[in-house]
Amino acid sequence: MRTAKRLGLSMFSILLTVGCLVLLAGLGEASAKPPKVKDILEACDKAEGYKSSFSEAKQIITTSSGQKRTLVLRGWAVDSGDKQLSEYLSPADIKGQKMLMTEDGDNIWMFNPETRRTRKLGSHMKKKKVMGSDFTYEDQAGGKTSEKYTGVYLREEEQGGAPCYVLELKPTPKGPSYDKIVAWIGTADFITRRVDYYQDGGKKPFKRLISEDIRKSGEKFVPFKMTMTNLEDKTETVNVLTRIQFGAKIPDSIFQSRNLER
Amino acid sequence: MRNRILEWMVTMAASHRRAVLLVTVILTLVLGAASEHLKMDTRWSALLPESIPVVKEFVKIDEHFIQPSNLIVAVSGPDSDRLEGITDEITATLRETMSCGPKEDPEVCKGEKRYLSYIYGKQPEQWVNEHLLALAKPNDTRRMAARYRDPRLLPFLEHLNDDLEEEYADSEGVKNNEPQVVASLDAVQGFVRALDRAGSGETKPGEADRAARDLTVGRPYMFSLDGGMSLVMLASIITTDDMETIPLVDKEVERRLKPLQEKYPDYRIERTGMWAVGRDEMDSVGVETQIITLLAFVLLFLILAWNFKSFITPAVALFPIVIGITWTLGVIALVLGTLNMLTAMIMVILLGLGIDFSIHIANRFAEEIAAGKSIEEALRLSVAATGQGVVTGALTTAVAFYTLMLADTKGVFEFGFCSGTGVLVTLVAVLWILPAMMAWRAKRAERKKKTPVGSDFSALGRLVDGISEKKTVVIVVGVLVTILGILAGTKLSWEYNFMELEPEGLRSIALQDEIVERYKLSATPGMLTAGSPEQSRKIRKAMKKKRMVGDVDDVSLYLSRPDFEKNLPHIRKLKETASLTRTPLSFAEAEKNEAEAKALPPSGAENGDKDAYAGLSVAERRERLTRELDRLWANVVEIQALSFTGGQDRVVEKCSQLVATRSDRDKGMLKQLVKRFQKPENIRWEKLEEFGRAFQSGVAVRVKKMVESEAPVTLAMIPEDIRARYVSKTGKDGFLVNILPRRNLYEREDQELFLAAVNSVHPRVTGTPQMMLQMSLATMEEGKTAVIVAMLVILAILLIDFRRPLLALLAFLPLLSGMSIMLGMMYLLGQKLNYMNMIAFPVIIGIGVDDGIHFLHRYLQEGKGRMRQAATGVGRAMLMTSLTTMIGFGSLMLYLLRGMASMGLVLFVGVAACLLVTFTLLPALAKLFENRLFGNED
Repeated sequence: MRTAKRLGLSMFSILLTVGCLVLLAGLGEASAKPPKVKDILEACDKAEGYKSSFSEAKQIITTSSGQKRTLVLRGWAVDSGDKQLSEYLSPADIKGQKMLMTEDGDNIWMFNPETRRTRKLGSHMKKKKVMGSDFTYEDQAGGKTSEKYTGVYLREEEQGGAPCYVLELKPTPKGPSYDKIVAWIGTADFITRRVDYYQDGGKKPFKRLISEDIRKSGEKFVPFKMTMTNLEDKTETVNVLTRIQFGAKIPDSIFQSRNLER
Repeated sequence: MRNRILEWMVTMAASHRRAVLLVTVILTLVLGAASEHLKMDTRWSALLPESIPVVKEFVKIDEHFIQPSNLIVAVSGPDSDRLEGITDEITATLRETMSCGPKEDPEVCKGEKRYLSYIYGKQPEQWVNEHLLALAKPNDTRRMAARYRDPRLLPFLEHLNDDLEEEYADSEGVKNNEPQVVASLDAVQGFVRALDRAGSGETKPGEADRAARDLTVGRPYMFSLDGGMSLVMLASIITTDDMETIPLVDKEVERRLKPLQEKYPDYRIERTGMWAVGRDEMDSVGVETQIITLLAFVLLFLILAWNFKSFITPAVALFPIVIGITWTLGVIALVLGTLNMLTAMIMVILLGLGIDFSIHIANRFAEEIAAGKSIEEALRLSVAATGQGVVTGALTTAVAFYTLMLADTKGVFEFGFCSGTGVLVTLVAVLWILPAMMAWRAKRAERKKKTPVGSDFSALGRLVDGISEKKTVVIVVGVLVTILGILAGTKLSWEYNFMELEPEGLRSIALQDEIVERYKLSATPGMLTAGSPEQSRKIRKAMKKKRMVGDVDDVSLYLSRPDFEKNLPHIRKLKETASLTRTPLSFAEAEKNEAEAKALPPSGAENGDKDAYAGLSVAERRERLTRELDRLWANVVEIQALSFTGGQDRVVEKCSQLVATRSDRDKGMLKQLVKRFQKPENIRWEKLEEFGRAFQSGVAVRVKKMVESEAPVTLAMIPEDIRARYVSKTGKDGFLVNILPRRNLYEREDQELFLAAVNSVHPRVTGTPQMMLQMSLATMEEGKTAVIVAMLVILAILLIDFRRPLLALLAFLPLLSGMSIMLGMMYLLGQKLNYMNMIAFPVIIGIGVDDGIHFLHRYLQEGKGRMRQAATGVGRAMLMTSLTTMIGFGSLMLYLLRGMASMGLVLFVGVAACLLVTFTLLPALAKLFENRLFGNED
């Protein structure tokens, strides 16, 4: 207080100043009201969605025995991944193996090139892991986030150097099997940069997806590196896109199970 | 005070030797008798406080449960069928000769070397058969009912294929059921092998029945993935704290199995597990090593004899140490009652430190007598003058040890107490006994008119004096080397892998690794107790999902689930629809087939259902059998692909044995079988039919037994030996859950990964690797604090003793600089810090402090400008104390036991470094500060 007096400020003027600051801060907050969660999710769907795409990628997984295994695959997808076909190119042990998902992962078929057999997996398989990776079929399935989740806005926070909306999302009846997810979505490009997954009533996330190396490919921003970490088992799966092409002409026939062996 | 006590001891030695003798005898008898009650507890749990939950759990399991993984017999060889027989013989032999029944008196059994309570070589096959459907999950019971409904060869194979296709369509399905998939594939492998032999006309007796057994009830033995190894686990009546008997158990097992090894020279019958490793470790100290040690001690004795020019004086110098150790053990027995893994080394430490006390005093005494002093005067100078340095050195070392008692870790706390007390007790013994003995010896020599002659160490004095003259160079080099040593020392790492401390090439350890290689599982489990069988089941389910966990073994495997009711419809359906008495399908010839059809009632008639196979011609049956084998091949190939990406190595390995790898599919046994069947002329169909009949009969008998009971399996129904594996001895301490890691948890990274995974399910998972990690982490944490505190305490005592900071710092120098050089050398020699070489540290601290104190005391006594005389006098004792330690303990470097060898190396290097600093850097600095030390006496 003595310092205040020395500076020529009375108690009243201090209170006045503080009051004004609080008021201004309140107004500022009111004017920077975040967009609605639904709007963010729809913007995200728009930013991440596509009509058709062809991609080539590397997937590095941690096996049960603790070793790293690199799989190379290529994929065709339409309608933001609603229908998608992946084919493994290496290692030799699984070369030619194909996986077809349609209707948002409700239908899954696996094709083995050696036995030339196509097997349909039950829809309960959606929450199971794909080929020993940390991604489940439902993680990889396409569809619109705005239709799969509803939730609340938590805060704005930086993730990977970009300001993001942090949303706490709960699945809709159509949505995945998680209890909830917390997603970090870029405020500028609406690309998902991080997702924390919760299950079994846990208070801590059990796995985490980090999207990095976000670059433009054509008109779209694309994360070229996605790392899914199982925080309990200390395993991780890294997906690295080596090539992506949007708007490729993809005949619908390749998404038919009977054509898998072609 | 100190001087008065020392003077009194001189008086006692000079004038009251009988009193000294009497007190010594009484004390030795009393404390010796007390030390007889000292117990050894070398369990890991004895080192850690029970307040830590995993330690508490370890102790509980250790006390209340049997642990068959401590001693394992592994039998390996070329023929898997023969292995079954040998495993049975091993089990029978051990049961007959070494088994002690639950109602027998363990002491009587122990006397008769019947150390084993249970021998687990085989599952209770009949019991499992009877209750299989009641033990499985409802879905598995449904699957089994579908698989076993027709025991005939062709339908059975078809249903097996249906099941594989339905169940293992995705990688997660394979991963979650890894042990079952492996067991199924193992059974398929046996079946394919048997079918192949039957097709080529070489049937082996009992092979079809074994194939039927494996495909229905499962193989009751603990076989490796390659089928080349079988395990027999042994539970003992001996408790883990009975360290004397444990090696005898292993020895007796080996002895009992020797005739079997001779009977089957093509097979290896070996032992492993912690108990076998412990015994092998002891046996590694062979005759050669003992000779080396003996030679080292002879050399040590000869050096002392040369120094004293007498063979008796070294014995006189050693005698008080032996007495001091006896007294120490007595005190420990009275206060603690037990020695643990760390305090068991106390004798080594006291021998290393105590001999220094003796040498310093005996040396000075001999020196003064040789200089013509009277016995009393020589006693006064050696005990009251040199004794001051000895006392200061001992007190410093003891207090440094006592600082370890600040540790929370029980092992470190007890080590601090035992070492600190041991140093003080040994000091008292030396000061009490040695002067009297020296006086008595000198009196006798006087009577015989012998003049003791000491060795001439004037050259050493001149050398040290010369070095001190070149003080600038010596100080610069010394400081530089010390700094480099400290820097290198910070890079030293801790050896978490305890197997690295064992002798190289120890068979029992190699066998542990071989088990991991062959089974893709470690035989050393993590353990915890569950409150109820249902909790145990939940824990198993959650644990199985963890990447580091290979399998979980618990009581719920032998109990019906709470939803057992859901199994009943499937059991009843199988009972009603199983066509167990159907006529075997003929593959041999059409005529026979038709004749059979006419002569016998229609197949399936007894159940009123139609037999889809009855109308098939022989050619069609053969074609369908071939098709089913091809389908089986496709199923295994697909399972292999699904398990490859997920890294289910056990499944991949098993599949590879059936279908090889993608690059050489044609070499796979299943592909070759399909190819053989694709050429019907290559098949001995009549033999195959014979096989089919035996197989059908084998399946039918077992399925019939399976459906007999509809009752759920309760705890009381479990066979006693199986129950004993999981239920506590009292029945009140819960149920043991064994969690088998995918590999041996030797390395810290694996230990931490495993712990992180299992602790997320349950925080109390314990086991030897967990205890080792706890101990390593606690020791590292508390060790750092202890070293810092000990150094500060030593410095404080030196300050009190010398009353001048400069002197205290100079006396501290050999320890600080010597230890730094030692750490640097350890780094250069590629050594890591470990439990064994940590034992060397207190000895080095003791000797390092002694060196500085004795040198400075003597230099101050001699006076300014008399560096040469001081170094000649005290240098002799210092050289002797260091040489004895370096030779005595340095011989350990030749031990096969790598932990011991590393302790020997550290002691050798550490003591040498301290001595080197005392003869170089310390005199140089003393010379530099000479005026300040002596206050410009000129």
